[in-house]
Amino acid sequence: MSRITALLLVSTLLGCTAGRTSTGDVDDPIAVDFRFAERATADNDPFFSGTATPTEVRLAAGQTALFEGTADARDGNETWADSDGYALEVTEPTWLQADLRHEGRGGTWAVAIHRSSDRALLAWWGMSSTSAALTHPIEVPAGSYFVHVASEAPGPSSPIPYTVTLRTGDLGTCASDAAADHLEREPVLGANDAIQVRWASFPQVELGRGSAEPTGLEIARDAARVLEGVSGTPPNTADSYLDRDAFEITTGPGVTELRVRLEHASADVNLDVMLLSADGRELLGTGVEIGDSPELAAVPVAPSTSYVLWIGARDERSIGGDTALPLAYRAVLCGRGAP
Amino acid sequence: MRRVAIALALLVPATASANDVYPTACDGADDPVTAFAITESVCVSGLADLECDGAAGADVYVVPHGADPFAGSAVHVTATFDGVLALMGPLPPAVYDLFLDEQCDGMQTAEDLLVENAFEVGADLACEAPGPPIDPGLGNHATCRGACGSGCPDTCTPGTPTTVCVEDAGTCRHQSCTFETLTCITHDGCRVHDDCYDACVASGGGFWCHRQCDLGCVGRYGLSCGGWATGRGPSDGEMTYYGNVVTTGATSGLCSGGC
Repeated sequence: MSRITALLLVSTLLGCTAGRTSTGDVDDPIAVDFRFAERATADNDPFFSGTATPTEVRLAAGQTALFEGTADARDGNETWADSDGYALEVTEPTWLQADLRHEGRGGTWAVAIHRSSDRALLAWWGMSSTSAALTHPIEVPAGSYFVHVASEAPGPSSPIPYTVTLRTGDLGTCASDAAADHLEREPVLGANDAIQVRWASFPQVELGRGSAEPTGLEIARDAARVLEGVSGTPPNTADSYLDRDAFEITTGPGVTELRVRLEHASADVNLDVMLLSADGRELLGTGVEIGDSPELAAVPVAPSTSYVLWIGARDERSIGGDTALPLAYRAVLCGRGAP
Repeated sequence: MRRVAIALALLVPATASANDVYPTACDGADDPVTAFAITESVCVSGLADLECDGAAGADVYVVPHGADPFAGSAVHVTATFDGVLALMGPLPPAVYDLFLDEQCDGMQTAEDLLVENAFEVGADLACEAPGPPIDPGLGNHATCRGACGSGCPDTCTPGTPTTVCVEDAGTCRHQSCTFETLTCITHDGCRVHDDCYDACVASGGGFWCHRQCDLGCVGRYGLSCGGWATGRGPSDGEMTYYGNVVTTGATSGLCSGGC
Protein backbone atom coordinates (compact mmCIF):
# COMPACT_ATOMS: atom_id res chain seq x y z
CA MET A 1 0.00 0.00 0.00
CA SER A 2 1.42 3.31 -1.02
CA ARG A 3 1.90 6.13 1.43
CA ILE A 4 -0.73 8.16 -0.37
CA THR A 5 -3.23 5.35 -0.25
CA ALA A 6 -2.64 4.78 3.43
CA LEU A 7 -3.11 8.45 4.08
CA LEU A 8 -6.32 8.44 2.08
CA LEU A 9 -7.78 5.55 3.98
CA VAL A 10 -6.91 6.96 7.38
CA SER A 11 -8.31 10.36 6.43
CA THR A 12 -11.49 8.85 5.10
CA LEU A 13 -12.08 6.73 8.14
CA LEU A 14 -11.56 9.65 10.44
CA GLY A 15 -13.78 11.89 8.33
CA CYS A 16 -11.27 14.72 8.23
CA THR A 17 -12.38 18.11 7.06
CA ALA A 18 -10.62 20.82 5.17
CA GLY A 19 -7.93 22.94 6.58
CA ARG A 20 -4.86 24.77 5.44
CA THR A 21 -1.84 22.58 5.09
CA SER A 22 1.65 23.96 5.03
CA THR A 23 3.38 23.61 1.72
CA GLY A 24 6.85 22.33 1.13
CA ASP A 25 6.88 20.01 4.11
CA VAL A 26 9.19 17.11 3.21
CA ASP A 27 6.93 14.75 5.14
CA ASP A 28 3.90 15.84 3.14
CA PRO A 29 3.60 13.60 0.07
CA ILE A 30 1.72 16.28 -1.86
CA ALA A 31 2.46 19.96 -1.34
CA VAL A 32 -0.95 21.53 -1.11
CA ASP A 33 -2.61 24.56 0.40
CA PHE A 34 -5.87 22.82 1.25
CA ARG A 35 -6.69 19.22 1.90
CA PHE A 36 -10.17 17.80 2.24
CA ALA A 37 -11.12 14.20 2.89
CA GLU A 38 -14.54 12.86 1.99
CA ARG A 39 -16.49 11.54 4.95
CA ALA A 40 -17.24 7.85 4.58
CA THR A 41 -20.97 8.43 5.05
CA ALA A 42 -21.25 11.54 2.93
CA ASP A 43 -24.00 11.68 0.31
CA ASN A 44 -22.23 14.03 -2.02
CA ASP A 45 -23.65 13.06 -5.39
CA PRO A 46 -24.35 16.57 -6.71
CA PHE A 47 -26.85 15.46 -9.34
CA PHE A 48 -29.31 13.09 -7.75
CA SER A 49 -29.41 12.22 -4.11
CA GLY A 50 -27.28 14.87 -2.48
CA THR A 51 -25.17 17.96 -2.98
CA ALA A 52 -21.51 18.68 -3.45
CA THR A 53 -19.84 18.57 -0.06
CA PRO A 54 -18.87 21.99 1.31
CA THR A 55 -15.12 21.90 1.85
CA GLU A 56 -14.13 25.37 3.06
CA VAL A 57 -11.49 25.36 0.33
CA ARG A 58 -10.87 28.94 -0.85
CA LEU A 59 -8.32 29.00 -3.61
CA ALA A 60 -6.29 31.98 -4.72
CA ALA A 61 -4.26 31.96 -7.91
CA GLY A 62 -1.23 29.74 -7.52
CA GLN A 63 -2.68 27.61 -4.74
CA THR A 64 -3.48 23.93 -4.80
CA ALA A 65 -6.16 21.84 -3.14
CA LEU A 66 -6.23 18.11 -2.64
CA PHE A 67 -9.50 16.21 -2.30
CA GLU A 68 -9.34 12.67 -1.04
CA GLY A 69 -12.21 10.28 -1.47
CA THR A 70 -13.25 6.76 -2.26
CA ALA A 71 -15.31 5.31 -5.05
CA ASP A 72 -17.79 2.87 -3.63
CA ALA A 73 -21.30 1.77 -4.43
CA ARG A 74 -23.16 4.09 -2.05
CA ASP A 75 -24.15 6.79 -4.53
CA GLY A 76 -24.38 4.44 -7.47
CA ASN A 77 -27.03 4.18 -10.13
CA GLU A 78 -27.18 3.02 -13.74
CA THR A 79 -24.91 5.89 -14.75
CA TRP A 80 -22.10 5.61 -12.30
CA ALA A 81 -20.75 3.43 -9.55
CA ASP A 82 -20.10 6.48 -7.42
CA SER A 83 -20.50 10.21 -7.86
CA ASP A 84 -18.77 12.66 -5.55
CA GLY A 85 -18.88 16.44 -5.61
CA TYR A 86 -16.62 18.85 -3.72
CA ALA A 87 -17.66 22.49 -3.43
CA LEU A 88 -15.03 25.20 -3.23
CA GLU A 89 -14.51 28.90 -3.62
CA VAL A 90 -12.11 30.66 -5.94
CA THR A 91 -11.18 34.04 -4.52
CA GLU A 92 -9.75 35.70 -7.62
CA PRO A 93 -9.65 35.12 -11.38
CA THR A 94 -7.39 32.21 -12.21
CA TRP A 95 -6.94 29.05 -14.21
CA LEU A 96 -8.29 25.81 -12.79
CA GLN A 97 -7.41 22.25 -13.65
CA ALA A 98 -8.45 19.02 -11.94
CA ASP A 99 -6.14 16.03 -11.80
CA LEU A 100 -7.69 12.71 -10.77
CA ARG A 101 -5.54 9.79 -9.60
CA HIS A 102 -6.51 6.35 -8.35
CA GLU A 103 -5.22 2.81 -8.38
CA GLY A 104 -6.58 1.89 -11.80
CA ARG A 105 -9.65 -0.20 -11.02
CA GLY A 106 -13.28 0.69 -11.61
CA GLY A 107 -13.54 0.97 -15.39
CA THR A 108 -13.71 4.44 -16.86
CA TRP A 109 -13.57 7.47 -14.57
CA ALA A 110 -14.50 11.06 -15.23
CA VAL A 111 -13.56 14.35 -13.61
CA ALA A 112 -15.12 17.72 -14.34
CA ILE A 113 -15.51 21.23 -12.94
CA HIS A 114 -18.92 22.88 -12.67
CA ARG A 115 -20.06 26.35 -11.70
CA SER A 116 -22.14 26.00 -8.54
CA SER A 117 -24.82 28.59 -9.27
CA ASP A 118 -26.27 26.81 -12.28
CA ARG A 119 -24.19 23.63 -12.39
CA ALA A 120 -22.94 24.64 -15.83
CA LEU A 121 -20.17 22.34 -17.00
CA LEU A 122 -17.09 24.53 -17.39
CA ALA A 123 -14.30 21.97 -17.66
CA TRP A 124 -15.88 19.08 -19.49
CA TRP A 125 -15.22 15.54 -18.50
CA GLY A 126 -11.72 14.28 -18.64
CA MET A 127 -12.34 10.55 -18.97
CA SER A 128 -9.95 7.66 -18.74
CA SER A 129 -9.92 3.93 -18.17
CA THR A 130 -6.45 4.07 -16.61
CA SER A 131 -5.40 5.41 -13.23
CA ALA A 132 -5.42 9.14 -14.08
CA ALA A 133 -7.62 11.72 -15.75
CA LEU A 134 -7.36 15.47 -16.24
CA THR A 135 -9.71 18.26 -17.07
CA HIS A 136 -8.42 20.79 -19.54
CA PRO A 137 -7.52 24.06 -17.79
CA ILE A 138 -10.21 26.72 -17.70
CA GLU A 139 -10.11 30.39 -16.84
CA VAL A 140 -12.64 31.27 -14.17
CA PRO A 141 -13.63 34.40 -12.29
CA ALA A 142 -13.86 34.44 -8.53
CA GLY A 143 -16.86 32.40 -7.46
CA SER A 144 -18.26 29.09 -6.32
CA TYR A 145 -17.48 25.88 -8.15
CA PHE A 146 -17.55 22.17 -7.56
CA VAL A 147 -15.38 19.34 -8.76
CA HIS A 148 -17.21 16.20 -9.79
CA VAL A 149 -15.68 12.74 -9.79
CA ALA A 150 -17.51 9.69 -11.09
CA SER A 151 -16.57 6.12 -11.84
CA GLU A 152 -18.35 3.84 -14.21
CA ALA A 153 -21.06 1.44 -13.08
CA PRO A 154 -21.21 -1.23 -11.79
CA GLY A 155 -19.74 -0.47 -8.41
CA PRO A 156 -16.34 -1.85 -7.45
CA SER A 157 -16.08 -4.95 -5.33
CA SER A 158 -14.21 -2.89 -2.76
CA PRO A 159 -13.82 0.87 -2.28
CA ILE A 160 -11.24 2.55 -4.49
CA PRO A 161 -9.36 5.47 -2.91
CA TYR A 162 -8.69 8.43 -5.15
CA THR A 163 -7.32 11.95 -5.04
CA VAL A 164 -8.24 15.02 -7.03
CA THR A 165 -5.67 17.78 -7.12
CA LEU A 166 -7.05 21.15 -8.12
CA ARG A 167 -4.38 23.41 -9.52
CA THR A 168 -4.66 27.15 -10.11
CA GLY A 169 -2.44 29.90 -11.42
CA ASP A 170 -0.98 30.25 -14.87
CA LEU A 171 -1.49 26.83 -16.34
CA GLY A 172 -0.70 27.98 -19.84
CA THR A 173 -2.54 27.56 -23.07
CA CYS A 174 -2.07 25.32 -26.04
CA ALA A 175 -2.05 27.25 -29.29
CA SER A 176 0.02 27.59 -32.45
CA ASP A 177 -0.19 29.52 -35.69
CA ALA A 178 2.45 27.37 -37.34
CA ALA A 179 1.86 25.44 -40.53
CA ALA A 180 0.76 21.85 -40.21
CA ASP A 181 3.41 19.30 -39.34
CA HIS A 182 1.21 16.52 -40.65
CA LEU A 183 -1.63 16.46 -43.18
CA GLU A 184 -4.07 13.59 -42.97
CA ARG A 185 -3.54 11.14 -45.81
CA GLU A 186 -6.44 8.67 -45.46
CA PRO A 187 -6.32 7.33 -49.04
CA VAL A 188 -9.76 5.73 -48.67
CA LEU A 189 -12.51 6.93 -46.36
CA GLY A 190 -12.31 4.76 -43.26
CA ALA A 191 -8.68 3.74 -43.74
CA ASN A 192 -7.66 5.47 -40.50
CA ASP A 193 -10.84 4.93 -38.46
CA ALA A 194 -9.17 2.40 -36.15
CA ILE A 195 -11.45 2.88 -33.13
CA GLN A 196 -15.19 2.64 -32.54
CA VAL A 197 -16.73 4.64 -29.73
CA ARG A 198 -20.24 4.06 -28.44
CA TRP A 199 -21.62 6.52 -25.95
CA ALA A 200 -23.77 5.74 -23.01
CA SER A 201 -22.86 7.71 -19.92
CA PHE A 202 -19.24 6.79 -20.48
CA PRO A 203 -17.64 6.13 -23.86
CA GLN A 204 -17.24 2.48 -24.75
CA VAL A 205 -14.10 2.04 -26.85
CA GLU A 206 -13.30 -0.89 -29.10
CA LEU A 207 -11.13 -1.56 -32.12
CA GLY A 208 -12.70 -0.83 -35.48
CA ARG A 209 -11.73 -1.07 -39.12
CA GLY A 210 -8.56 0.50 -40.47
CA SER A 211 -5.53 1.52 -38.47
CA ALA A 212 -4.06 4.66 -37.00
CA GLU A 213 -2.20 6.75 -39.54
CA PRO A 214 1.55 7.09 -38.90
CA THR A 215 2.53 10.74 -38.51
CA GLY A 216 6.07 10.66 -37.19
CA LEU A 217 5.04 13.46 -34.84
CA GLU A 218 6.88 13.67 -31.54
CA ILE A 219 5.36 16.14 -29.12
CA ALA A 220 8.19 17.68 -27.15
CA ARG A 221 7.92 19.30 -23.77
CA ASP A 222 6.81 22.94 -23.97
CA ALA A 223 6.44 22.64 -27.74
CA ALA A 224 3.49 22.39 -30.10
CA ARG A 225 2.92 20.34 -33.22
CA VAL A 226 0.05 20.79 -35.64
CA LEU A 227 -1.96 18.17 -37.45
CA GLU A 228 -4.63 18.89 -40.05
CA GLY A 229 -7.29 16.65 -41.50
CA VAL A 230 -10.81 16.40 -42.85
CA SER A 231 -13.75 14.72 -41.20
CA GLY A 232 -15.69 13.07 -43.98
CA THR A 233 -19.20 11.75 -44.51
CA PRO A 234 -19.37 7.98 -44.33
CA PRO A 235 -22.70 6.50 -45.44
CA ASN A 236 -23.24 4.49 -42.28
CA THR A 237 -21.48 3.87 -39.03
CA ALA A 238 -21.96 1.35 -36.29
CA ASP A 239 -21.27 3.61 -33.34
CA SER A 240 -21.88 7.16 -32.13
CA TYR A 241 -19.65 8.87 -34.70
CA LEU A 242 -19.53 9.52 -38.41
CA ASP A 243 -16.01 9.78 -39.82
CA ARG A 244 -13.19 9.42 -37.35
CA ASP A 245 -9.46 9.77 -37.93
CA ALA A 246 -6.77 8.12 -35.84
CA PHE A 247 -3.13 9.18 -35.81
CA GLU A 248 -0.02 7.71 -34.26
CA ILE A 249 1.90 10.24 -32.17
CA THR A 250 4.73 10.02 -29.65
CA THR A 251 5.47 12.07 -26.58
CA GLY A 252 8.93 13.49 -26.09
CA PRO A 253 11.19 13.10 -23.05
CA GLY A 254 9.79 14.70 -19.92
CA VAL A 255 6.26 15.09 -21.27
CA THR A 256 3.67 14.06 -18.67
CA GLU A 257 0.66 15.90 -20.01
CA LEU A 258 -0.57 16.23 -23.56
CA ARG A 259 -2.87 19.09 -24.41
CA VAL A 260 -5.03 19.14 -27.54
CA ARG A 261 -6.74 22.14 -29.05
CA LEU A 262 -8.97 21.00 -31.88
CA GLU A 263 -10.21 23.82 -34.10
CA HIS A 264 -12.77 23.69 -36.88
CA ALA A 265 -14.97 26.12 -38.73
CA SER A 266 -18.45 24.71 -38.47
CA ALA A 267 -21.14 25.39 -35.96
CA ASP A 268 -23.19 22.27 -36.56
CA VAL A 269 -20.47 19.62 -36.36
CA ASN A 270 -19.48 18.32 -32.95
CA LEU A 271 -15.91 17.07 -33.17
CA ASP A 272 -14.55 15.12 -30.22
CA VAL A 273 -10.98 14.17 -29.47
CA MET A 274 -9.67 11.21 -27.50
CA LEU A 275 -6.25 9.82 -26.69
CA LEU A 276 -5.78 6.08 -26.51
CA SER A 277 -2.95 3.71 -25.83
CA ALA A 278 -0.88 2.68 -28.85
CA ASP A 279 -2.86 -0.53 -29.22
CA GLY A 280 -6.13 1.41 -29.12
CA ARG A 281 -7.49 -0.55 -26.18
CA GLU A 282 -7.18 1.94 -23.31
CA LEU A 283 -8.85 5.33 -23.15
CA LEU A 284 -6.49 7.89 -21.63
CA GLY A 285 -8.27 11.18 -22.06
CA THR A 286 -11.10 13.01 -23.76
CA GLY A 287 -12.23 16.31 -25.17
CA VAL A 288 -15.95 15.76 -25.53
CA GLU A 289 -17.62 19.11 -25.07
CA ILE A 290 -20.90 19.43 -26.92
CA GLY A 291 -20.17 22.91 -28.06
CA ASP A 292 -18.53 24.88 -30.78
CA SER A 293 -14.86 25.01 -31.77
CA PRO A 294 -12.35 24.64 -30.21
CA GLU A 295 -12.52 21.27 -28.49
CA LEU A 296 -9.98 21.10 -25.67
CA ALA A 297 -8.42 18.15 -23.91
CA ALA A 298 -5.65 17.54 -21.40
CA VAL A 299 -4.40 14.02 -20.96
CA PRO A 300 -1.92 12.48 -18.53
CA VAL A 301 0.78 10.68 -20.52
CA ALA A 302 4.13 9.04 -20.04
CA PRO A 303 7.26 10.51 -21.60
CA SER A 304 8.64 9.00 -24.80
CA THR A 305 5.59 6.84 -25.39
CA SER A 306 3.43 6.23 -28.45
CA TYR A 307 -0.30 6.91 -28.45
CA VAL A 308 -3.27 7.09 -30.78
CA LEU A 309 -4.87 10.49 -31.21
CA TRP A 310 -8.48 10.02 -32.33
CA ILE A 311 -10.73 12.71 -33.77
CA GLY A 312 -14.37 11.94 -34.57
CA ALA A 313 -17.54 13.75 -35.60
CA ARG A 314 -20.48 12.86 -33.38
CA ASP A 315 -23.44 11.60 -35.35
CA GLU A 316 -25.97 14.34 -34.66
CA ARG A 317 -27.94 14.18 -37.87
CA SER A 318 -31.12 13.39 -35.96
CA ILE A 319 -31.19 16.93 -34.57
CA GLY A 320 -30.19 18.62 -37.78
CA GLY A 321 -26.43 18.62 -37.24
CA ASP A 322 -23.49 17.54 -39.39
CA THR A 323 -24.66 19.42 -42.46
CA ALA A 324 -21.21 21.00 -42.79
CA LEU A 325 -19.42 17.68 -43.29
CA PRO A 326 -16.92 17.09 -44.80
CA LEU A 327 -15.14 19.50 -42.50
CA ALA A 328 -11.51 20.49 -42.21
CA TYR A 329 -9.96 20.59 -38.75
CA ARG A 330 -6.68 21.59 -37.16
CA ALA A 331 -5.33 19.96 -34.01
CA VAL A 332 -2.62 21.67 -32.01
CA LEU A 333 -0.78 19.23 -29.74
CA CYS A 334 1.23 20.59 -26.83
CA GLY A 335 3.61 18.78 -24.53
CA ARG A 336 3.87 19.73 -20.90
CA GLY A 337 5.96 18.34 -18.10
CA ALA A 338 5.95 18.40 -14.35
CA PRO A 339 7.30 21.67 -12.99
CA MET B 1 -79.56 18.43 -34.06
CA ARG B 2 -79.34 16.17 -37.08
CA ARG B 3 -78.38 13.18 -34.97
CA VAL B 4 -81.35 13.80 -32.68
CA ALA B 5 -83.73 14.02 -35.62
CA ILE B 6 -82.45 10.79 -37.06
CA ALA B 7 -82.71 9.06 -33.73
CA LEU B 8 -86.35 10.15 -33.40
CA ALA B 9 -87.13 8.83 -36.86
CA LEU B 10 -85.51 5.54 -36.05
CA LEU B 11 -87.59 5.08 -32.94
CA VAL B 12 -90.43 3.86 -35.13
CA PRO B 13 -89.00 1.07 -37.27
CA ALA B 14 -90.97 -0.28 -40.17
CA THR B 15 -92.82 -3.53 -39.69
CA ALA B 16 -93.91 -5.99 -42.34
CA SER B 17 -97.34 -5.52 -43.98
CA ALA B 18 -98.62 -6.56 -47.38
CA ASN B 19 -95.78 -4.67 -48.93
CA ASP B 20 -93.06 -4.10 -46.50
CA VAL B 21 -89.31 -4.11 -45.99
CA TYR B 22 -87.24 -3.58 -42.87
CA PRO B 23 -83.63 -4.09 -41.87
CA THR B 24 -82.45 -7.05 -39.79
CA ALA B 25 -79.14 -8.08 -38.32
CA CYS B 26 -78.19 -11.05 -40.51
CA ASP B 27 -78.07 -13.16 -37.36
CA GLY B 28 -81.02 -15.41 -38.08
CA ALA B 29 -83.39 -13.40 -35.95
CA ASP B 30 -86.08 -11.52 -37.79
CA ASP B 31 -86.27 -8.56 -35.47
CA PRO B 32 -86.08 -5.09 -36.96
CA VAL B 33 -82.75 -3.38 -36.31
CA THR B 34 -82.19 0.29 -36.84
CA ALA B 35 -78.56 0.75 -35.76
CA PHE B 36 -75.54 -1.04 -37.18
CA ALA B 37 -71.83 -0.93 -36.61
CA ILE B 38 -69.53 -0.42 -39.56
CA THR B 39 -68.24 -3.93 -39.16
CA GLU B 40 -71.69 -5.47 -39.54
CA SER B 41 -73.77 -6.42 -42.58
CA VAL B 42 -77.40 -5.44 -43.20
CA CYS B 43 -80.11 -7.89 -44.14
CA VAL B 44 -83.69 -7.17 -45.06
CA SER B 45 -86.95 -8.94 -44.32
CA GLY B 46 -90.52 -8.24 -45.41
CA LEU B 47 -93.28 -8.97 -47.92
CA ALA B 48 -93.72 -8.28 -51.59
CA ASP B 49 -97.18 -9.02 -52.96
CA LEU B 50 -96.91 -7.98 -56.59
CA GLU B 51 -95.54 -10.01 -59.40
CA CYS B 52 -92.05 -9.40 -60.48
CA ASP B 53 -90.52 -11.30 -63.38
CA GLY B 54 -93.38 -13.80 -63.38
CA ALA B 55 -93.54 -14.50 -59.67
CA ALA B 56 -94.39 -12.62 -56.49
CA GLY B 57 -91.34 -10.67 -55.41
CA ALA B 58 -89.52 -7.37 -55.72
CA ASP B 59 -86.14 -5.68 -55.94
CA VAL B 60 -84.86 -4.04 -52.78
CA TYR B 61 -82.39 -1.15 -52.90
CA VAL B 62 -80.36 0.23 -50.01
CA VAL B 63 -79.21 3.80 -50.55
CA PRO B 64 -77.98 6.63 -48.37
CA HIS B 65 -80.86 8.71 -47.19
CA GLY B 66 -82.13 11.09 -49.85
CA ALA B 67 -80.24 9.47 -52.70
CA ASP B 68 -81.85 8.26 -55.90
CA PRO B 69 -83.54 4.98 -54.91
CA PHE B 70 -81.95 3.23 -57.85
CA ALA B 71 -78.49 4.52 -57.14
CA GLY B 72 -77.55 1.38 -55.28
CA SER B 73 -77.44 -2.21 -56.46
CA ALA B 74 -80.57 -4.29 -56.13
CA VAL B 75 -81.13 -7.49 -54.22
CA HIS B 76 -84.02 -9.61 -55.50
CA VAL B 77 -86.46 -10.88 -52.90
CA THR B 78 -89.38 -13.26 -53.05
CA ALA B 79 -92.90 -12.73 -51.76
CA THR B 80 -91.90 -13.39 -48.21
CA PHE B 81 -88.29 -12.79 -47.39
CA ASP B 82 -86.35 -13.09 -44.17
CA GLY B 83 -82.78 -12.07 -43.57
CA VAL B 84 -81.75 -11.48 -47.15
CA LEU B 85 -78.29 -9.96 -47.31
CA ALA B 86 -78.66 -6.46 -48.70
CA LEU B 87 -75.47 -4.69 -47.73
CA MET B 88 -72.19 -6.41 -46.91
CA GLY B 89 -70.02 -4.88 -44.21
CA PRO B 90 -67.86 -3.02 -43.56
CA LEU B 91 -70.39 -0.27 -44.03
CA PRO B 92 -69.93 3.44 -44.63
CA PRO B 93 -71.35 5.35 -41.67
CA ALA B 94 -74.60 7.02 -42.79
CA VAL B 95 -78.37 6.95 -42.49
CA TYR B 96 -79.89 4.73 -45.14
CA ASP B 97 -83.23 4.40 -46.94
CA LEU B 98 -84.75 1.13 -48.13
CA PHE B 99 -86.63 1.07 -51.39
CA LEU B 100 -88.79 -1.80 -52.56
CA ASP B 101 -89.40 -1.79 -56.31
CA GLU B 102 -92.53 -3.89 -56.62
CA GLN B 103 -92.46 -4.36 -60.35
CA CYS B 104 -88.71 -4.71 -60.59
CA ASP B 105 -88.91 -2.22 -63.42
CA GLY B 106 -86.39 0.32 -62.24
CA MET B 107 -89.05 2.99 -62.08
CA GLN B 108 -90.45 4.62 -58.96
CA THR B 109 -94.26 4.22 -58.96
CA ALA B 110 -97.10 4.54 -56.47
CA GLU B 111 -96.96 0.82 -55.67
CA ASP B 112 -93.32 0.99 -54.67
CA LEU B 113 -92.33 1.40 -51.05
CA LEU B 114 -89.73 3.90 -49.82
CA VAL B 115 -88.75 3.57 -46.18
CA GLU B 116 -86.81 6.65 -45.32
CA ASN B 117 -84.33 6.62 -42.45
CA ALA B 118 -84.69 2.87 -42.24
CA PHE B 119 -81.44 2.38 -40.34
CA GLU B 120 -78.22 4.08 -39.39
CA VAL B 121 -74.68 2.79 -39.64
CA GLY B 122 -72.92 4.52 -36.81
CA ALA B 123 -69.34 5.66 -37.15
CA ASP B 124 -66.82 3.97 -34.92
CA LEU B 125 -66.62 5.62 -31.58
CA ALA B 126 -63.34 7.30 -30.94
CA CYS B 127 -60.95 4.97 -29.16
CA GLU B 128 -59.32 6.96 -26.42
CA ALA B 129 -56.11 5.47 -25.10
CA PRO B 130 -55.80 5.33 -21.31
CA GLY B 131 -52.35 6.92 -21.49
CA PRO B 132 -49.91 8.74 -23.76
CA PRO B 133 -49.64 7.58 -27.37
CA ILE B 134 -46.53 5.98 -28.82
CA ASP B 135 -46.78 8.41 -31.72
CA PRO B 136 -48.34 11.71 -30.73
CA GLY B 137 -48.20 12.93 -34.32
CA LEU B 138 -45.59 15.62 -33.87
CA GLY B 139 -43.98 17.27 -36.83
CA ASN B 140 -40.63 15.65 -36.15
CA HIS B 141 -42.14 12.15 -35.94
CA ALA B 142 -40.86 11.92 -32.37
CA THR B 143 -42.32 9.07 -30.37
CA CYS B 144 -42.60 7.99 -26.72
CA ARG B 145 -42.35 11.53 -25.42
CA GLY B 146 -40.94 11.62 -21.91
CA ALA B 147 -39.27 8.25 -22.17
CA CYS B 148 -35.53 8.15 -21.67
CA GLY B 149 -33.88 7.53 -25.02
CA SER B 150 -34.27 8.62 -28.57
CA GLY B 151 -37.90 8.05 -29.56
CA CYS B 152 -38.96 4.67 -28.23
CA PRO B 153 -35.55 3.09 -27.54
CA ASP B 154 -34.95 -0.63 -27.67
CA THR B 155 -34.89 -0.68 -23.89
CA CYS B 156 -38.67 -0.21 -23.96
CA THR B 157 -40.60 -3.45 -23.57
CA PRO B 158 -43.83 -4.43 -25.34
CA GLY B 159 -46.57 -5.17 -22.86
CA THR B 160 -49.84 -7.04 -22.82
CA PRO B 161 -52.42 -5.39 -25.08
CA THR B 162 -54.84 -3.23 -23.12
CA THR B 163 -58.57 -3.25 -23.89
CA VAL B 164 -60.87 -0.40 -23.00
CA CYS B 165 -64.57 0.11 -23.67
CA VAL B 166 -65.86 3.42 -24.97
CA GLU B 167 -69.53 4.31 -25.21
CA ASP B 168 -71.91 6.95 -26.48
CA ALA B 169 -74.94 7.23 -24.23
CA GLY B 170 -76.68 9.46 -26.78
CA THR B 171 -76.82 6.73 -29.40
CA CYS B 172 -76.63 3.87 -26.94
CA ARG B 173 -73.60 2.28 -28.49
CA HIS B 174 -70.34 0.97 -27.20
CA GLN B 175 -67.10 -0.18 -28.68
CA SER B 176 -64.16 -2.28 -27.55
CA CYS B 177 -60.70 -0.86 -28.29
CA THR B 178 -57.56 -2.95 -27.84
CA PHE B 179 -54.26 -1.06 -27.84
CA GLU B 180 -50.71 -2.36 -28.23
CA THR B 181 -48.54 -1.11 -25.37
CA LEU B 182 -44.92 -0.21 -24.85
CA THR B 183 -43.41 0.48 -21.44
CA CYS B 184 -40.29 2.62 -21.10
CA ILE B 185 -38.32 4.12 -18.26
CA THR B 186 -38.71 7.83 -17.63
CA HIS B 187 -37.07 10.54 -15.57
CA ASP B 188 -37.69 14.21 -15.02
CA GLY B 189 -34.51 14.92 -16.98
CA CYS B 190 -35.81 12.93 -19.95
CA ARG B 191 -39.24 14.55 -19.81
CA VAL B 192 -37.80 18.04 -19.68
CA HIS B 193 -35.38 17.24 -22.48
CA ASP B 194 -38.11 15.82 -24.72
CA ASP B 195 -40.30 18.85 -24.07
CA CYS B 196 -37.35 21.05 -24.96
CA TYR B 197 -36.74 19.19 -28.23
CA ASP B 198 -40.42 19.32 -29.13
CA ALA B 199 -40.49 23.05 -28.48
CA CYS B 200 -37.51 23.41 -30.81
CA VAL B 201 -39.38 21.57 -33.54
CA ALA B 202 -42.52 23.61 -32.97
CA SER B 203 -40.60 26.86 -33.19
CA GLY B 204 -38.36 25.77 -36.06
CA GLY B 205 -35.40 26.14 -33.74
CA GLY B 206 -33.05 23.79 -35.55
CA PHE B 207 -29.75 22.34 -34.47
CA TRP B 208 -28.66 24.97 -32.00
CA CYS B 209 -31.99 24.98 -30.25
CA HIS B 210 -31.63 21.23 -29.74
CA ARG B 211 -28.07 21.77 -28.61
CA GLN B 212 -29.23 24.10 -25.86
CA CYS B 213 -31.56 21.36 -24.64
CA ASP B 214 -28.59 19.00 -24.45
CA LEU B 215 -26.53 21.54 -22.55
CA GLY B 216 -29.39 22.11 -20.14
CA CYS B 217 -29.51 18.40 -19.38
CA VAL B 218 -25.77 18.13 -18.88
CA GLY B 219 -25.72 21.06 -16.50
CA ARG B 220 -28.53 19.60 -14.44
CA TYR B 221 -27.72 15.90 -14.52
CA GLY B 222 -24.15 15.53 -15.79
CA LEU B 223 -23.10 12.23 -17.26
CA SER B 224 -26.53 10.69 -16.89
CA CYS B 225 -27.72 12.52 -19.99
CA GLY B 226 -25.54 10.26 -22.10
CA GLY B 227 -27.08 7.18 -20.56
CA TRP B 228 -30.56 8.55 -20.98
CA ALA B 229 -29.89 9.18 -24.67
CA THR B 230 -29.50 5.44 -25.09
CA GLY B 231 -32.57 4.54 -23.08
CA ARG B 232 -30.83 3.66 -19.84
CA GLY B 233 -31.39 4.85 -16.32
CA PRO B 234 -31.45 6.22 -13.74
CA SER B 235 -35.20 6.53 -13.81
CA ASP B 236 -37.92 7.87 -11.55
CA GLY B 237 -40.57 5.56 -12.96
CA GLU B 238 -42.01 3.92 -16.01
CA MET B 239 -44.42 5.17 -18.63
CA THR B 240 -46.71 3.00 -20.71
CA TYR B 241 -47.43 4.21 -24.21
CA TYR B 242 -50.35 3.11 -26.36
CA GLY B 243 -50.05 2.36 -30.05
CA ASN B 244 -52.05 0.69 -32.78
CA VAL B 245 -55.64 -0.07 -31.83
CA VAL B 246 -57.92 -2.86 -32.94
CA THR B 247 -61.64 -2.23 -32.52
CA THR B 248 -64.70 -4.40 -32.78
CA GLY B 249 -66.70 -1.49 -34.16
CA ALA B 250 -69.55 0.21 -32.36
CA THR B 251 -72.40 -2.02 -31.32
CA SER B 252 -75.67 -1.54 -29.51
CA GLY B 253 -75.82 -0.99 -25.80
CA LEU B 254 -73.52 0.65 -23.33
CA CYS B 255 -70.36 -0.90 -21.92
CA SER B 256 -72.38 -2.10 -18.93
CA GLY B 257 -74.83 -3.80 -21.25
CA GLY B 258 -77.75 -1.56 -20.44
CA CYS B 259 -79.03 1.48 -22.19
